[in-house]
Amino acid sequence: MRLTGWSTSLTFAIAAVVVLLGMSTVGAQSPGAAAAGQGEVTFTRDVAPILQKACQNCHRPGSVAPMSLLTYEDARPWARSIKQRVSTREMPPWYIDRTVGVKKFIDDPSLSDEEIAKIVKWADAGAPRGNQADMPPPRQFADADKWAIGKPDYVVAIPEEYVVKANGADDWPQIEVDTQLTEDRYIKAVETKPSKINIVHHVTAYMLGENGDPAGEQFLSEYAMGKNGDVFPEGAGRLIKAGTKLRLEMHYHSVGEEVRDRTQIGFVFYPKGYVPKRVAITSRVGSGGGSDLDIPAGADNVRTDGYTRMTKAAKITGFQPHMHNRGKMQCVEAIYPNLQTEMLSCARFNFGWALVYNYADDAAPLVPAGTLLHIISVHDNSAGNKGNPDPKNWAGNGNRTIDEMAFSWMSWYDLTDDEYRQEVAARNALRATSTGTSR
Amino acid sequence: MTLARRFLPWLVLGSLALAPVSTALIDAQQLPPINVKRTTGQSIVPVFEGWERNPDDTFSLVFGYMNRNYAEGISVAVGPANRFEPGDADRGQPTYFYPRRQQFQFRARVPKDWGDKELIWTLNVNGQTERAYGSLKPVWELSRSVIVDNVHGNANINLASKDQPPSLQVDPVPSSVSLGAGLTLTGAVPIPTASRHRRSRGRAALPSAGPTPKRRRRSSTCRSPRRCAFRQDCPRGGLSIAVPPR
Repeated sequence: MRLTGWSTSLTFAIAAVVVLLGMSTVGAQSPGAAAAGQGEVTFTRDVAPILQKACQNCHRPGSVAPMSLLTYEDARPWARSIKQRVSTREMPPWYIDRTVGVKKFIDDPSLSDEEIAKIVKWADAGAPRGNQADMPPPRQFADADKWAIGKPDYVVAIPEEYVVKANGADDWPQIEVDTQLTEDRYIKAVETKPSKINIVHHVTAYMLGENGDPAGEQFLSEYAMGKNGDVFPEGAGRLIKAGTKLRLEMHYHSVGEEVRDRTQIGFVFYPKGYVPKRVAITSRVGSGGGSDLDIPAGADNVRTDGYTRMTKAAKITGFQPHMHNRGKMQCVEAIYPNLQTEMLSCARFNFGWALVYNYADDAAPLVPAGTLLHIISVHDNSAGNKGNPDPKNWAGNGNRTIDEMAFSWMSWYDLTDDEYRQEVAARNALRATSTGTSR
Repeated sequence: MTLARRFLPWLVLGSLALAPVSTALIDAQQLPPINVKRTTGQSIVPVFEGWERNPDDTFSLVFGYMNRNYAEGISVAVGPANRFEPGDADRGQPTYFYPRRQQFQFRARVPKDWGDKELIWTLNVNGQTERAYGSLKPVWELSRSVIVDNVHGNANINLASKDQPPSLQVDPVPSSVSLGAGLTLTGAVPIPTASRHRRSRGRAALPSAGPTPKRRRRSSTCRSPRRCAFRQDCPRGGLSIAVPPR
């Protein structure tokens, strides 16, 4: 079987399931439907504003989504699928478990229960258009909308298009990029954007040392399929020096047709001269579990545990699960030095959307020195996993797309023990005065 | 057409449609139990690693294994408990299995018309039967860089792609030599570019944009950047170098 056929079959299978699932649920009373109220829900008055806010950035011509949702004519044929995808919280892509740990995030695109109820009610009612006078003005899209981190201050790209053959083994080219930066700058946010997302498994970017010396190499950022961007908390940043050259560790895979990619990296900088107090750190956490990965053929709910010790007190600023096609969910738990445990976050995993969940500053976990971060990964190697490339075979740790992984990219900045105590005291005081805030 | 046949396709499709609902949702309260790391008594999983193209248009299916025991190495003779099928049960597989994961251990060649068939490696250890299904599915295609990346880490990829196995080129030798007269052999050991750039594992392996670093000379006759000459004076009465036929 060729990849082309496999991909195509998979696409049709998923599409069939989505459509059928939509059909099977249309007409049924969905959770939260009553919350939409008793009045008629129309596209122009109720649904279009939701689509503009949460969907159209991707669902518009020239963007990454397969269909446009700009107009009623665009959206109407997809009403049932839209209902299915939003009511199961498959869309907008945001897979955090809302019943666990931290609940406040930066740039959370997910819909409220009320918004979901409106869409469900609209689809159930036959997707009425409504009064054209209620239609909000079309959303204006600037180039900035193409970047999850907002309009970048600076963009670099790989020197030339990289050609990925229609068929072949996975490919890991190392590509050097001269940033041509003329002054030192502190990074507030960074995002990697392949021009063709379907062939790019990951991009790990490193800043080479002075004069391109690999010996002084430092981590810059990581991208995996569908990732948004790393946004550091106010006052935390990562220095990129003038003249820095980057090493981009690319991972391409073939998809049955020749594809050309020219990956870019966008930066949002702090103002010139501003020196953030904190150094933003991003690192693999729980990788130790990966070497133990043992995912039997055909098995679902296979658990793997990995641990990383935080040598210093820290404020955890982001959680990005990393698995491959068989990834199902991942959790990060803090095991404190006093052996108390706290589950910080769990998220369902979708290989096509390797999202980073950036914690809101007033909810970001504070951990003392010596805390163990415990990464719990769950894989599904059964035939029931429609993205599984080969359920007949065992799967373990490896770098290919067809192999598996089980770790998390965690972001944080270090605190001194005194700073940690002060932050905890401030957080407790805030909680005491604000009953509506929780994490 | 019977009722069962008539509705079977719809039942199948219906099951497919409902499948994501029943399997997609798992939350923290439903986490599976933690795995216990056991030193002995566990099974060994044969692992299909992928396939390679051979110059003669045949293919090699590459296998490894995962010995689930953290301490116990196990011997399993080729036979009913360690066999390939179809065809020859012995395809060069190991008969001693070290603990834990051992990648890319051996190749089993299949003909160029292998097509969609599967080559199955079965291991029965500690009462448990495990199988690996080797095939030529495109997603399993291997390359040298895939193996290097998985075994040695990504930073060595660029070097590895240029690196080649060592070889020895010996200049023509006299067709005959008198016993006890001694013989001088001259030749060269080509040094791949990658060997001259090699850095420690984990460091970057970028193509150099600047001048090529100087190579440490191996002998006074080493002049060419890509060909290091040697001279071997053999003692009287015997040769100390095995020279392959040219």
